[in-house]
Formats: sequence, structure tokens, C-alpha cells
Amino acid sequence: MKLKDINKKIDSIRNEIKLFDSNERKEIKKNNKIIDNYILELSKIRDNVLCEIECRYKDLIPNDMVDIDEIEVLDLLDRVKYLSSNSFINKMGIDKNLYEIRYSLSIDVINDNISLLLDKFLQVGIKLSKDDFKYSISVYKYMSYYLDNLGKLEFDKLMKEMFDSLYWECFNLVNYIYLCFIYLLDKYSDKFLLYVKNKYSSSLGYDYELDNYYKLVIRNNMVINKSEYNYYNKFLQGELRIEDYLSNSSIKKDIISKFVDYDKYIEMNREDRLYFYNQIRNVYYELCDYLMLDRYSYLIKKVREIYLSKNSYLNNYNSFLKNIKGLLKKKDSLNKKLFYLYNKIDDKSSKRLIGKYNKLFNQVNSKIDEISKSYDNYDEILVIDKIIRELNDESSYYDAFLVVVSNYGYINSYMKDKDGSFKELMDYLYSPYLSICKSIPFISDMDIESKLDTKYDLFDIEVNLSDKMKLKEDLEYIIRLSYIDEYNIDIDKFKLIFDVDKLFK
Amino acid sequence: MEELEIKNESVKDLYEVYLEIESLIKELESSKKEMPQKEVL
Repeated sequence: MKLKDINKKIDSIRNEIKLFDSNERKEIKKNNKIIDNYILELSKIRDNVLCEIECRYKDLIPNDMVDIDEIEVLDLLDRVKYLSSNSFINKMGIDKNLYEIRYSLSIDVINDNISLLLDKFLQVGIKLSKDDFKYSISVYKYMSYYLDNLGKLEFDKLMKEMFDSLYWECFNLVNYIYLCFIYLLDKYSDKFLLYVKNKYSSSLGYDYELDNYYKLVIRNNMVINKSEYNYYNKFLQGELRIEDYLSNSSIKKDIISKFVDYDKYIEMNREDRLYFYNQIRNVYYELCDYLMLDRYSYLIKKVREIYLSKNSYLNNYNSFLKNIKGLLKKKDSLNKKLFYLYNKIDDKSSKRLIGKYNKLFNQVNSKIDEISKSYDNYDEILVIDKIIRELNDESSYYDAFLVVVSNYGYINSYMKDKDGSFKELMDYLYSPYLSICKSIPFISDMDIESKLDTKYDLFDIEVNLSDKMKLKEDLEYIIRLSYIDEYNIDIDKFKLIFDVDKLFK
Repeated sequence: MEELEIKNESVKDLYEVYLEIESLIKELESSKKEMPQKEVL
């Protein structure tokens, strides 16, 4: 029996039972028996059909699972970020370690970052020893104990005990460790500069690497957008509702009608439809660009403020350095005497000697406190110096963002109570789809939204900017639809798989 | 029952037939009538 025969049988049974209208006992008995036989027969056919479906429906599941090499993308992004910065502290992620040491509330996190810094010194060929930490007595004690116990199983516990024992001697120990590393980075800066100069020395430059990165991201996105499995999995995981993408979806008509007459859309030939989709994608990228610019406009406002009053900051950095140099010189001279006494003092030392030691100890610490106070705005001083040196009237929003994100400490402190996150901002800055951000000078305070409105008035699609988040959502929907359409992804087939799958659960 | 020749049919067509059969079985079950009580003289 073929499928058409089964269908015929179904029709004929339907027609036959329509005639079972007798209420006579004998007839009812006879008809019920016929019905029971049909039910039995149909159940057998149904079970056979089900068995055949079960054997074959899983073959319909797409198997073009995309395996993007994320490592290649991240490597290239690291390379690009590395080349974009001209500070070895930023290039090597040292700014992040310094920030964690200075502001973290966890001793474990602080110790982990100290370890990361020690590794970075090793990378450039410097094995720091206890003698490198003679910035202050307390730093020396802490770091000597650190180096002696590094790698031991009970390291975290031991360091917490050490921190506890030094706390009343030096409340600002963490800050002193931070300052000591700043001092060491300056002392060994030549080695670091040489290291970063040689790394990626074969590179053809930032623009070339950035272009390669963009190409790779766009290629990967295209691979994902073409993948049947990608859509299937999104429906399966509930990220997308399959009903919204079926050929008869009502949402489809509602959303497309916001941009173009739906009947016109239906009648579009392939070329016109691709053109329409292309316009939608461009509007989407511009909208995302604009939304992020708007979200992080407070950063641009800050850079603009500093830049426009740059004359008042011109000598800031040099005065800071001069001041630190003077304070360090005084501290070092006292510190030298202090360490001399420190090595001399024991249980038998006279009260006078101990008194002299304590006096010197407090003098050194008070000098370091002065240095520490000067470092309160250190990150801001660095960023201001960078703004003054690297930006000009033609620099774009993008250039201005790059200046602030190049100092991890500054950007994280500044963004603390504001909208957004460092990661989101970085993802935005390294998106290959930026246009507004790279075109508009950061000193301009033009009304970008009205410019977009004017632009879209000239388009042959409607773009309503009144509810931007809804607009973004609608554009994302059409973009998905465009790939489904462009790459002939069969959503009805997915629906069949899901429906059939329910039968066997 | 006559042997089924459905190996070459698409899963979509098979599923449609399955739905039709299920629907017909339900119709059949509901079309069965209760036997009237015998008249007592």
C-alpha cells in the first residue's frame, strides 16, 4: 500500500462512516464492529508510518555546525590592541595588574596580580629579587616572605597571616606595593621598551593588522549567518521563536511593513530584495554605532573638556614627574639609613637605637604617603598627557576613545558609577562595522540623531528613530530573515523536525 | 494488512498522513454509538 492508497483509504472510511446513521440496535452493533476494525487497521498503519518517520527524521537535522577558530580571532585582536597602544604598561596589560593591586579588596586577588607582574618582569628578562623591594621596610618584609613562599600549597594562608602581622605597622602596605612596582617599572623601562619593540617586529603595522582582523570577523560572521545549524540551534534553544520565521508568520508582515510596503516586498525580485536587505543592514550598523556613541558620550565629553582647556594642563605631567623625583630622592636617602639600622638591630639593641629606627621608619613612611598622595590622580595625569600629545582637531570619536581605553586604571575608575562596561566599550571599538565613530571629529558636538534622520529621509525605506531600541530589534529580525532568505534556509523543515520530535518524547 | 510501500516517501508527507490517521481514529472513536437499552415487556 502506497501513501496515496492510505490517503484514499482515509477518504473512503470518512465517507463510509457518514452513512452510519441508523439507531437500530442491530445496525449499531454491526457499525461499531466495522469501526473497531477500522481503528485496529488504521492503528497498525499509523504505527508503521511512525516507525518509518522515527527512522528517518533525524537525517533532516542540519549538520553544518560552524566551528569558528576563536583563538585565531583573539590572537589577531590581541595583536591589534598591542599595536594600537604606544605604552608598554598598556600593551602588556600591566595597567590592569596595577589597578587590581591598588583597588582590589581581596588579598588573594592582590597576590595573584603581584605574581602576574613578576611574570611580566621575567618575560622581559628581569628576575626580581628581595633587594628590588627595598622601597620600604614593610614592602621588603612582605615581598621577601612572598618570594620565599611562592608556589607553596599554603601560600594564600601564609600571605594573609603576613599581611595581618604587618597591618598595624603599615596601614597603606597595598598602596606601597603598588608604588614600588611603579618605581620598578620605571627603573627597568628600557628592558620593557626593548621587549615590546621586538614583539611583532615583523608586523606590517597597525592599519594592516586591523584590516586583517576586520576581514576575519566579517568572514566568520558570514560563515555563521550561512549556517543552517546555527538557526536550527537557536530555535532549539528557544533563543528565537520559530513561528516568527515561518513563511506565513504575521510578525514578518508587521515588521517589514514598518520599512516598506509589504506587497512591494513580496513582489521584489531577488536583486531588489538583496538591495533592500543591504539597506537594512547598513541602517542597523549605523544605529548600533550611534547608540554606543550616545551611551559613552560622557567619555567623549570629558576628553573634549580636557582637550579644549589643554593650555591649563600643559605642564601637568612634567611638574608631576619633577615632584615625584624630588620626593623619591628624599625618601631614598632616609630609606638607606633605615635599612642600615634594620640590618643592625636585634633583641640586644639599645632603646636609643630602636627609638632612632622607629623615628626613621615613620619619616620614610610619611614621605611615601606624600608620594602616594601625588599618585592619587596618576592615571588621570597620564590620560591628560596623552590627550594633549596624541589628539588634534581632526581626531575622531574613535581616536578619542582609544586614548581613554589605553589606561585601564583611568577608564575603570571613571566608568565605575556610569553606564556601560570596559568590555562592551572595547567590543564596540573593535567592531568592523563602525562608520559614524570613525568619521566625526570628537570636538564636534553635532546632533548626530538629526543627521541620521535627514539621511534616512532620502532613503526609499522608512526609518523611524523615535523608539531606537524597538527599531534595533526590528532591524535584527529583518537581518536574520535576510540571511534565511538569501541562503535558502528551510525554516518549515525545522518546524517539521520539532513537531515530529515531540511524538517521540 | 497489506504491506506498506512508504520507504521513498518524504518525512513531511509521512507526518501529514500520520496526522490524518490520528484525526480519523479520533473521529471513529467518537462516532461509535451506545447500544440502546432492550425494551422490557
